[in-house]
Amino acid sequence: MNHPRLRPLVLAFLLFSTIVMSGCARDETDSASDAGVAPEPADKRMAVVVSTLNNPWFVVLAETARDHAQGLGYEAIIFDSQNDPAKEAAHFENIIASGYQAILFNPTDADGSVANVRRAKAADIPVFCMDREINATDAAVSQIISDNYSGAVAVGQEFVKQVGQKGKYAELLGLVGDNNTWNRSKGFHSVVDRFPELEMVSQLSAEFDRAKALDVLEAVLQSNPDIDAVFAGNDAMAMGAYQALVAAGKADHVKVFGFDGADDVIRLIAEEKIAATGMQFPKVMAQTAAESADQYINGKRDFPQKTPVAVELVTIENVSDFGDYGRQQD
Amino acid sequence: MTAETTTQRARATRWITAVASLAVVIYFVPLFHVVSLTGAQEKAEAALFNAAEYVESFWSGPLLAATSNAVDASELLDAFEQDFEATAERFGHRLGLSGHSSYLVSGEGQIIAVEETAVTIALREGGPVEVIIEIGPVFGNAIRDGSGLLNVSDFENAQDFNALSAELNILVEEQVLPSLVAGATVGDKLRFVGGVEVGDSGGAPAALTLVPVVVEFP
Repeated sequence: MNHPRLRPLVLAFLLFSTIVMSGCARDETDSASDAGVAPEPADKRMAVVVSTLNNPWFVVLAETARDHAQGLGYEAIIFDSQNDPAKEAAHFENIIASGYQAILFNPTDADGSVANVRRAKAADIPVFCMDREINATDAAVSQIISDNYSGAVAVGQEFVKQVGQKGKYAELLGLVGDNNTWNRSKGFHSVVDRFPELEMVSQLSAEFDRAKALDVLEAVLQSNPDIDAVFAGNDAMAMGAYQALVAAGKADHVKVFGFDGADDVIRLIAEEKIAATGMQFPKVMAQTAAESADQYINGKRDFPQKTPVAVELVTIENVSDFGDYGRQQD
Repeated sequence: MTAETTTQRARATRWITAVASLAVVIYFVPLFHVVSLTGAQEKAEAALFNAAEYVESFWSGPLLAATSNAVDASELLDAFEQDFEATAERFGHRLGLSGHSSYLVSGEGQIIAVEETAVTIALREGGPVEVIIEIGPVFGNAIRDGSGLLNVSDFENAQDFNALSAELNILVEEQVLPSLVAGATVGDKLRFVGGVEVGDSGGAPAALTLVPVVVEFP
């Protein structure tokens, strides 16, 4: 530095500037570096960003979205966030830099994913949420979401019908940052809690994961061997719970209730081994998202911010109507 | 005073000036704010959606006003017989891609039976039971969706929208069903307005299961 007398002032200014700008500079830096390695934008490309592919239900959601986008003439690629918001953010940066025309998005976190959607919106890339919502109504173009609460109310009513108004049960929660986890839990409890002699002895998260549900329920059975039922927030956890009950020799008298409508659970309902589930319609949601994205790209702008998709109760009485992640005719 | 001392003082003065300048800048452009934990919690709670308050004003305002425009129960049942899909389209409200439509329905009829779980009503003299009002815990979205006044897209998340149904159902249990249970007598007339859900798959229903907003004994 040529002016030693100014050095303190310059250092102070640089220090202040560095502190102030550090919070703003990161995105630009990352985007710039990504842009340097980004492939050339293609004419028609859609990205499918899915929370996890470690669950057959989400595989169906993602692959249906991809296949439908391809059917509409787009190149479509699936990005697996592996239930990790950091990976999801990295996918979005890559997608933005790569010049995709739309994102069909299954978020990992209702709050945490909002920033990613806003970043895409700022880059003029429309985002269409599938199954799970984000906690913002001005970021995504449209959110095609499962009506989890109403579905869980129906499961709760069936729970009381089959288990009775008295008994002990365990609940397996999904990801605690996901709205669907709580919509299902609250819908279920809005019914079951009306019957005070139905006692919940355990409420633990198994993160929508079959293997974790197996571990969690094994632990629950150690301390509560006399439960009458299990309510699992998704079918993967219902399968894990059922597996734990089979291993403990209790599968015949502990009723398991799930949510999703996964093929293996539908099969077990038909065999009267699982009591009931709520059928979501991943194919309907994925197709609607892909079609909406195509319409947006072709100029349509008036989309409802949220389109709930009904969840239907599946029991032994109507199980023959369902299969392949929807109604038989779907 | 030596030249070295003078230089040291000048350097110290420059550092003090720099630090003071930085302090002034930070004072006017603070890098962060310190708030009390209690204050932050109160602010966060105030920002939370209060479904009970919302429903209270919705019930006494727009919902009661809409009861005067409810579709007549007999007319609705007759229209279902004529053309189920067109009737659902004309009178019903559909939430997203759901398998049922919801309605706000009014009517007057004669109480046929008062049972532990339901009050049943005939709309035509000597006719069959065409309206069922269940007594006991109320579930579902018949009033929220049947009113046609609440849009899911207006709410930040589905939990808030779902909380409306829970609160509406509580009001029905606390404010409507007790007067029905206390006053319902077989043979008496009953005037009613309420929400109804009708599934797509069952075709024209023989009777409507109604969640009441208003019950009166004329």
